Amino acid sequence: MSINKAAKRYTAILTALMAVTAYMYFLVNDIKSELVKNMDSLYIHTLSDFIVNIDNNIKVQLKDEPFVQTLHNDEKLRAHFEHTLSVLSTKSFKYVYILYRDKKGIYRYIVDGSKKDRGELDQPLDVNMKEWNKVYKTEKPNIIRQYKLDELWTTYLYPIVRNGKVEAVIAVDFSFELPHRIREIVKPLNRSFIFIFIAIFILIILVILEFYNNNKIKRQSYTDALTQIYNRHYLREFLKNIDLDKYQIMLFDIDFFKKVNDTYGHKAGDIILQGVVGSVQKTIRDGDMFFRYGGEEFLLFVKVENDPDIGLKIAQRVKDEIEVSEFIYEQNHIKVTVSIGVNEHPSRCKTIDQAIKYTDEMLYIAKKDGRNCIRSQDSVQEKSNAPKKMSIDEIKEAFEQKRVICHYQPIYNAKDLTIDKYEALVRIVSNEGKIIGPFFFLEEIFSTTLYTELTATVIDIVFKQISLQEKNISLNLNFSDLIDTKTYDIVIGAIQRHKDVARFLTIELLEYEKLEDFERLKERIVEIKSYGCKIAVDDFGSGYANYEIFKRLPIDIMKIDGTLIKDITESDMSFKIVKSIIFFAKELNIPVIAEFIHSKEVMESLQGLGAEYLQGFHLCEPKEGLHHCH
Amino acid sequence: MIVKYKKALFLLLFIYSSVFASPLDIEKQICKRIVHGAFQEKTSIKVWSDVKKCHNILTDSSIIFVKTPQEADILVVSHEENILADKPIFVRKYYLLKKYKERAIGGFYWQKGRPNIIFIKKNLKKFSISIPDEFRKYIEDSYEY
Repeated sequence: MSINKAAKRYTAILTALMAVTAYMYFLVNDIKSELVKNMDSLYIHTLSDFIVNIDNNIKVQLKDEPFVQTLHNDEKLRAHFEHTLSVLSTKSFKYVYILYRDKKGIYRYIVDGSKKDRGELDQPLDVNMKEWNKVYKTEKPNIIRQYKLDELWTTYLYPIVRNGKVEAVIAVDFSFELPHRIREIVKPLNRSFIFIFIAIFILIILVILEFYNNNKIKRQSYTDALTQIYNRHYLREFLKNIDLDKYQIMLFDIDFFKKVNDTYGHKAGDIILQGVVGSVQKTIRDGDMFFRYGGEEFLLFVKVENDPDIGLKIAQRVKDEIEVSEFIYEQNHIKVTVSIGVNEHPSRCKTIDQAIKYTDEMLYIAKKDGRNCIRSQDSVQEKSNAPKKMSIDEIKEAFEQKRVICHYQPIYNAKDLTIDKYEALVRIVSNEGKIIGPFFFLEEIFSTTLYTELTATVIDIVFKQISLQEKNISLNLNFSDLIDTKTYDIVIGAIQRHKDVARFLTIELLEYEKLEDFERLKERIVEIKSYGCKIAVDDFGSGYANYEIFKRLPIDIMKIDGTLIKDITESDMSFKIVKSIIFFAKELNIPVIAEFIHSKEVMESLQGLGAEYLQGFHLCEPKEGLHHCH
Repeated sequence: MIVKYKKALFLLLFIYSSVFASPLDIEKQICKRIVHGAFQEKTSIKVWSDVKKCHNILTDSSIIFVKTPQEADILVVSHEENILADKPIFVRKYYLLKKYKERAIGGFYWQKGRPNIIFIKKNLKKFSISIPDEFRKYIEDSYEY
C-alpha cells in the first residue's frame, strides 16, 4: 500500500472516530436537556397544585375581603399565612412569599414564608418587573428562568385574583437543587462519556502513532541509507505507475570511482557519493525523481513540462556542478567527474525496462567516448553521423534494395579465449553507406508485417553464413515471436530447409512482456530443438527473464544481462547477483554467457566466477563477417 | 460636597447594573467605586469600613483606611450597629437602614438571591445629595411602613 493510500485510510478512521465522539457529545447533552425539561415540568406541575390549594385556603379565610389591605391590618392572619407558606419551603422551593404591587409599581412583601432571608412587611424587592407585570396583566401564572442569577433557578408566579383583579402574586423561587439533582442523575452518563472520550482519544493517538511508524518504516525502506535519496526498492514502486510521456531519463555514473575507493578508501568513497548527491540535488527541481541505482550509478527522472531539451539541460547542470565541486576527505581535495546517458524519448520504448536499458546504453557510450561527457540519442546520432530513426518507407526501401545485413560479434570460451560462436546482430546499410543499428528501425516496424519479413531475412542471412562456414551462430528472437504462428512458421520453415546445418544455430530468446502461453512455447521450442538447434535465454537477471523459464522450458544456455556485468567490478551487489546466477546455472548444468565485457578487470572477474563464455567490446566488436580480434 | 456624593452614588449604581458579575464581585466593586467616585477631587480619601475584605480590595494609593469613623469621609457599614459619627452611611444590609435611620443615605444588599438597592429620600436631602434621574425609582420616602 502506498503512503498516500495509507494516509487516506488513517484520515478516514480518524474522521469516523471524531464524528462518533461529536455525535456522542451532542447525544449526552440532548439527554441532559430533555431530563432538565421533564423534571422542571414535573416540579412545576406539582407545585402549581399546592399553590392552587393555598389560594383556595386564602379564599376560604378572607372570603370577599381585600387581600392586601386585610393582611396589612391583621398581624395574626399574616403569621397564619406565613406558616402556611413555610410548609412549602423546602430544599427545592427555596423561597415562598407573596408580593403586592404598590401605586408606584414597586413590588413589596405582604407575606413571606421563606425559612431564610425573610422580607419584612412592605419591604421592596427588586424583581424582574417585566415578567411580574405580565402576571398582573394576564391574570395567569408565569414561569421565569433566571439564568443570570447565581442562587436561583426558576421562579413560579401565581396571581391571587379577587373580583377580576390581581391583588398580589404568590412567588416560589426554585433553588439549584433541581439542576443539581439532574446533574447527579446524568453523572454516570457523563462519566461514561468521559471514558469513551478517553478511549477514543487513546485510539486516535494509537492510529496516529501507527501511521507515523508505518510512514517511518516505509520511508526508511525507500531511502538509501548512505545518500538519503530514493533506492531501487522505491524505484520499483515509482515505475509501477509512471507515465513515460512526462519524464526524460538520465543515468549517470561517477568516473573512476573504483580508483577513488582504492586510493583513499571506502570512507572517502562514501563522502564522494554523499557529495555528488548533494551537488545533484542543487540542480534538480521539485518534480524530478532521483534514485541511487547501483553502487556509484544514479538514475534521475527529469519531469518534462514545456522544454523538450530539459533532460540534456539538467544533465549539463549536473555535470558542471559536479565538475566544479571539491570533496574533502582527511585533507585530501578530491575532484570527480561523471558520465551521463540521457534518454529524451522514453515513451518511444516499449517498456520502462527498455527505456532504462536504452539510457544505460547511452551511458555506456558516454563512458566509451572517454567519460566526463553526456550522451543522448541525438548526440550519438550527430557524432556518428548516423541517420535518425528510419521511417517505414526508408526501411521498406532498404528491404527491397537488400540493404539488410548482419554483423557478428564473437563469443569466446572463457578458459582459452578461443571463439566458440558468433552472435548475429541485424543492421541496415543507409543510402550513404552508413551502418544503422536496430534501435533506429526495429521499434518502428515491430507491429508490422515488415517485422516478420525482417525475421525471415535475418534467419536466411544467418543460415547462409552457417552453410558457408559451418560455425555456430546465434540470432535474437523474442519469446513472442515463437508464440506468433506466422513468425514461428518462418523460423521453423528456415530450420527445416537447412536441417543439415541447423545444429549450428542458437536462438537467443528475450522477452519484454510476461509470458503466459508456456505450453505452446514449450511445444515449439521442443520442435526447434529436434533439429539440433540450441535455445538460449538472453538478458537473464532483468525484465521478465526469470527462474520460472528454466522450470517450464528446455533452455540450453543462459546469457546474463549486460547491465549486471558491466559494473561487476565496482558494485558488490552486481557481483553477488552474477555469482549467484552462475551458481544457479551450474546447478542446472546450463552454460553461461557473460556479455558486456568492456574491460580486462570485468573479464577476469567473470572468468573467476566460472562463466563459460564471454562476449563484449573488450574482446571483440561486432563486424561484418565471421571475424576474430587479436 | 454635593458633587462628590453624587459621583459616588452614580458609580455605585453603575456597578449594580452590571448583574453579570458575581455577587461577591459586585460587592467589592461597590466598595471601591463609592470611595473613588465620591472623592475624585481629593488626593487622599479617608474611608472607614467594618468589612475587612474592603480593605483588601481598596488598595489604591489614594485611599486611606482610617481606624475610626470620625476620621472618615464616608462609612461603608455591613454589620456594625453602634456607630455614632455623623457621617453619610451606605449600608449593606436592609436592617441597618433602620438602625441608622438618621444617617443612612441608602444601601445595597442581596435579598432572595437578587441584588437590591434603595435610597432614603430624607437622608439624601439631609446630606444634600441628588442622584441621576434613572435611579429615582429606587428612592423611598421612608423605610418605616
